[in-house]
This record gives sequence, structure tokens and C-alpha cells, in this order.
Amino acid sequence: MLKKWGQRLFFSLILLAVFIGYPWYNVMNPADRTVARGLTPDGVILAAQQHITLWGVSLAAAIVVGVGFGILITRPRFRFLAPILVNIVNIGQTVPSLAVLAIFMGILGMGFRTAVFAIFLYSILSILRNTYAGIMGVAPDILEAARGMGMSPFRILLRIELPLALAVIMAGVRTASVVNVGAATLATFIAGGGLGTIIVTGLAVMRDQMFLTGAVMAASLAVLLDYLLSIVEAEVS
Amino acid sequence: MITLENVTKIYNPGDAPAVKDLKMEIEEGDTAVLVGPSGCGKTTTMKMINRLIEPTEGTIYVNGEDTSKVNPIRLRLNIGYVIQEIGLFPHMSIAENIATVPRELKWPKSKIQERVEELLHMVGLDPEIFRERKPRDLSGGQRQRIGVARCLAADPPVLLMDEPFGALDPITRARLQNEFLRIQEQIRKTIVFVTHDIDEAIKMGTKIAVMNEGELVQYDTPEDLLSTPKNEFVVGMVGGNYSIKRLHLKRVNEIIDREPPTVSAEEPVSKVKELLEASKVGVVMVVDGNNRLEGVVIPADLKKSGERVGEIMNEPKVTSDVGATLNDALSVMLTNGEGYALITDENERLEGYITLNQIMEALQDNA
Amino acid sequence: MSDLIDFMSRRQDQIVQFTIEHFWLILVAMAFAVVIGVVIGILITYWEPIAYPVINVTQIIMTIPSIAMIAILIPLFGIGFSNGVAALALYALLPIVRNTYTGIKAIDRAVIESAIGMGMKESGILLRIKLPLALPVIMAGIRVSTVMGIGIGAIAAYIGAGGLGSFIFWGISRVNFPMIWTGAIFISILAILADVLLGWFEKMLSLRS
Repeated sequence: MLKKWGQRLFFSLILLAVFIGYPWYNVMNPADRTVARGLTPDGVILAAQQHITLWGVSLAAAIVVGVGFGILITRPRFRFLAPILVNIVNIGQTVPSLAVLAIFMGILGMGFRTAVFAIFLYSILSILRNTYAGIMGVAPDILEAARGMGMSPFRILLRIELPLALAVIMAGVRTASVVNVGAATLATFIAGGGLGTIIVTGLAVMRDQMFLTGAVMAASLAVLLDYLLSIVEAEVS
Repeated sequence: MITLENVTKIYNPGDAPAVKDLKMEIEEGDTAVLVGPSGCGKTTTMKMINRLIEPTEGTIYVNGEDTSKVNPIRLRLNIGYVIQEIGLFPHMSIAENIATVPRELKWPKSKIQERVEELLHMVGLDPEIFRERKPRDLSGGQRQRIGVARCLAADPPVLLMDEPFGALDPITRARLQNEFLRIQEQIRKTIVFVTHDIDEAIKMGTKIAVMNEGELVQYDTPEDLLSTPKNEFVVGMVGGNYSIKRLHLKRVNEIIDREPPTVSAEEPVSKVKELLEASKVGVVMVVDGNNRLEGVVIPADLKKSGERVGEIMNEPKVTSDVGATLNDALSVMLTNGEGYALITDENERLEGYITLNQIMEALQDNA
Repeated sequence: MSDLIDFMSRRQDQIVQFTIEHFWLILVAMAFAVVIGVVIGILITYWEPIAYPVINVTQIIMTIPSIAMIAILIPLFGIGFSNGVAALALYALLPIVRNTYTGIKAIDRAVIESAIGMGMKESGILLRIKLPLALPVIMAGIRVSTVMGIGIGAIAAYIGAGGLGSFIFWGISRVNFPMIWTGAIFISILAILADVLLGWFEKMLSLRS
């Protein structure tokens, strides 16, 4: 038991060390003035903050909306919506995230807010589908027993359907998170900020040190966040 | 306690009714068994009592109240409900499963805990072991017992049971039926029981309702049903030989001989020799200080070497439990090729024995 | 809207050219990924202890944002087509390796045992029983990888791998909205088409077995 948590702490700390240590080193030891100008402590911290905010806000909102609608389309009155919505989800998920960002830029203009909104919409998809699948997957005899015993539909949702669907929902959240972090890295292309900015600037001035810093930060952050979510997923299964 | 007045159920207009103009009165403490072929409307009828299905016409009264005027959730919280698959909640412990309805009724925690413990004892499962287990760790028979415990949790006056023992193997089913009868003797609920098995109906029911194609064909006590079947259909339904069917009716404890010849394992072989000669069945039972059955001794055993009874005794094979019907006891005798069956209670204490002759005599007397 | 249609008709040739580039990028990458992925997938079915770690590593690769991966690969593959192929292939590995592994593992033991009983050698069993039976599942993995690859290919255009992503990046830098939309729309069409076609193919394979 302790070993398990010890292991988890260990890996998390290693990832965190890379996420912080690598850029720190490069900021402290710029190869030349271009790099020094591009990799400022403030700039790097800002990019990281934007990235985490982009990821966090859109994911949190996507969970609320995704789970909410997912539950809605399992209710008898709204079940007719399910095939339509699930189809939209399936098609939507095939569209690459870069295209989604570009499309929203066309509608809402450039900037951080557009990026958050676009990524939020994109990540609703897998959460909604998994919520629907998770709840519909609850065995009918369990539902019949619950109903026959006198539980109201709300109580059944709260005490039976959601707890049993939780593992599947969590898997959907995790998928959404990975997609989310990836899209957040691309936000820079529509002036949304994030760690992608460091990568892109580094590529523009052709300085390995710069774009690798951005890349390693984005990569280690992505792996760390997914690792943390995998721990949550394991604990609720 | 439960009155069904002209109850009809039609699923789609133009279809034949699933239940047609049903009139039935179930008294308090009765176990009314609805029996009939697939599609006869027995499950539909039962489900109309707790409004899982709404009647198209007619009224149902439970405890004097018109069920259509009561909030369905409140109605169901006050009626116990068990289905064939049981539907135990896999993510909850056994204790939490049992506590479902009390929790919905907002009972205080301590009262719930007590009740769970009480119910686990009642269905023969040790609370210490089973309270925190999950349904997946349990056998089919154990799950079924929890299902029964769960439906009794809030002490509802009425129980609805839809083929509750249907998914079990015959041996476990017989055992659970017996235990349930024992429990019912203590708690005296009003029960509506659905089954397609006429033998189960005869064994479990105080009144039997034979249904066919949505109609109530005959509603009588098991004895009356067997002796005066109303028509060809009922005869076909009941099937078999009247006498043999009556084996399902009578219980072992109606004819049991409670003064069996017993010895303890410590006693000398000479003592058992005397008893064997006196014994009607040619067998002597070996019990411990608590009257728990340890073994049997037959004349052939006297040839074995040994000073004490314990050294020459055999494993008791031909046993049945207290709630068993004559049919169960006869099965056990025939399987083992013996003319007697030893009767034990749930703690393996010897209650007595019955013989083949006694069974035949019992069948000769009229009901 | 009319600007868009106008743009698309004017730039038809370019659209076709970029689509072919994109297509080619994916084809080469998937060729590598399928060969390497299926081989690894088969190997780990024989070597249980490393199965889980291998799948874990490929899973970690998938979590890394594609543009970061592309950047990290620059020291190794430079910029351009080969970088794009490498990045796409790496991402395609997880679905293919995992599906090959689970597809083979899911085969009914009885089928394999009867083959052994009949005297078939492992190579024969692999080629004539395991792979054919696992094929639908492997195909599903290929489908998922391909659709994902189209998205990553779009990003690879940024470092000169070519393809429809070029429209998006040029469009953004020149603030040319019809160009951006063209890129987005055609990439989406390509992705949906690939999903549908490969999905149909996958269904055909599973019906046959």
C-alpha cells in the first residue's frame, strides 16, 4: 500500500523535476543573446501558466457539460437525442484539433478565450460519449431491483448509476485530458499563448535550446498530468 | 390485506389483455402463489401491485389504501421486492445492499446497523464474515439469501417475489425454500410469490392462484387445488399423481419421531448393541453433548473392532432438514437406498428421524 | 462564403498537391508503423513480462503533444518529410502494438490448442491462425492510428513536411481566412473519409472471421 503511493510520488516528482529543472537550466545558461531574449523567466512562467489554465479550465468545463449532457441523454425522455449526439461526437472527434482551432479562429477571432472555448468544445466529446456508455452499461436487473425497492429516478442516478459508471467516465476524462493538453500546445497558432509559443518562437529563430525547452516542458507536463489522472482513475475503479 | 378488483392490463390498444378482469383477495399472513405458463400474466399482476406496471383498468388496494392514490415511491418503499436475478448492487457491500431501503427512509445509522446484523442472522449468514463482502464474492445461494434479507430490511408488511429461487440448482433451491418457510413462520408477512413451478407453488403457498392467458383460473388452498381441480387446464397444470403431489404438501415435522435412539461417541459398543436390537429402523444415531449429529451405527458396524462407539460409527448420509417436505425426505432415502432419513436443524442438531413406512402411512390418511 | 468557394476553385491544383503530399506522408509513416508495430505486438505476446511495460511506453508517447514531439525529433531527423514520418509513426505505434497484442491474446485457447494438437509449428500457427483471427482488431488499431496521423500530419506541415496543414499555417500568418478554412475543411474531410473507409474495411474483415 505504502509502496504503491511511494512509487506514485516518486514518478510524479521526477516528472515535475524535468518540467521545472530543464527550463531552469536553459534560462540560466542561454547559448547566446537570442536565446536569452527568448527564454526569460517571466516569459517561461507565463507560458506555463497559460498552458495549465488552458488545459484546466477547458477540461473542468468539459467535465461539467459533458457529464451533464451525458446523463441527460440517458433519461427516458431525452433518449431519442442519444444517437444524434453520439454521431456528432464520433464525427467531431475525427476532425484534427488543429483544424478545430483554426475553424474557431475564423468564427470567434484569435486569442486566449477562443482557444479555451475551442478546446473545451472539443474535449466534451469523449466525456459525453463515455458518460452515456457508462450509464447505459449498468445491468438492467440492478435497475429493476432498485426501482422495485422504491428508489426514485434521482436516487437511482445518484447512488447506483453514477457510481457504477464512474470508471468509464473517468477513462473518458483521461482521454479528453490528453487531447486537451495537445490542443493547448497548438493554441499558440491562434494567439492563445501556452508552451507552444516557446516552441514556435524557438523554431522561428532556429535555436535548438529554445524550442527544445518548450517541447520538453510541454511533453513532461503532459505526461505528468496524465499520470496524475491515471492515479485518480485507478482509485475510483 | 391486498385486494385486486377487476384489474386489467392491456399493453397496446387492440392487443389481447395481458391480465383480464382479475379479482383476488389476499389475506394478511397468506403466501399467495401465482402460477401458470409463460405469458399467463402472473408477473404482470405482481408488478401491478407495486405499480412497476400500471393497470389499464381496475383498482388494487393494499392495506385498505387504493394504490393509485399513493405516491408510487412511498408505496414501493413499503413493499419488499425480490426478482430472479436479485440485482444486488455490485459496488456496495452486503451491509450497504441490505441497508438500501432503510437508508432511503432515513433511519438512524445505529438502527440500520442493528437491523443488518439481525437480518444476516435470520438468513443464516455470519455478519462478521459477510457484512463487508461484495456481491461478487458470494455464491448463488448466498446472493439469494441477501436478496431476501434486503427485501425484509425495512420490515414491510407485504413482499413481492418473482421467481426468487429460479436461478439456483435444485439442491440449493430446496434448501432455500425450506429456510424461507422457516423465516416466514417467524415473521408472518403477506407474500405474493410468482413461479412457473407447480411443485414450488404447492410447497410454498397457503393459497395458489392458477393463471392462464391473463385470467385467474382457480384460486384455492393447495389441498383444495389438488383434490378439486376446476378444469382440464388445472389438472394438466398440477400434473402427476395426487398422492405424489401431496408429498410436497406435508412437512417432515408433522410426522417426525422425536425420540430417536441415540448414544454418544464415548460410550461402549455394548450399549449400542442393545439399542440396535430395540431400534425400529436398525440404526442408532451418535450425537455429541449438544445433540449434534456425529454419526450412525448399523448392525454391520458391530463387527468392526473398537471399544467405543466413536470408533465404529459411519458418516451420516441420509439427512434432511427440519423444514423439508416429505418429498425431500423421500428423495434422500431413495438416493441412498435406505428406509429412513435423519432430520437435523440448521445447526446440525438431531431433531429426530422418519421412516419410509411413516411416509406411506401419512399418505394414506386423507389430507 | 463566396470568397471561400472562389479561393478553392482558384487554388485547385494546390489543394490536390497538398492532399497528395499529406496522403503520401501518412502512407509512408503507416507502412513503418504497421510493420514495426505488428512485429512488436507479436513479440510481446511471447514475452509476457515486458508486454505491460512496452505498452506503457507507447502509451506515454501518445500523451506527448505532437508539436513537442516533432520539435524533440529535430536533432535526430531535422526538419521536413522524414521528421513528419518519424513523428507519425511513433504515435501510430500504440494503437497498433496494443491491438495486435490484445487481438492475439483474445483468441480462444481451444483454437490454438487444436492447432498444436494437429502438429502445426508456431510459425504456421502465427501466420495461419493467430494473425488472421486477430486481423479485425489490428485493423481497428490501424484505423485509429491513421485518423490520428492525419491530424498530426497537419501539424507536421509547420516544419516543412508538406500537406494540407500548410494552408492553415500560411493562412494564419497571412491572415487569409479562406486559406485557413480550406485547410481545415479538407483535413477534416480526409480524416472522416479515412475513418469511414477503414471502418468499412474493418467490418468486412470481422464478418469474414
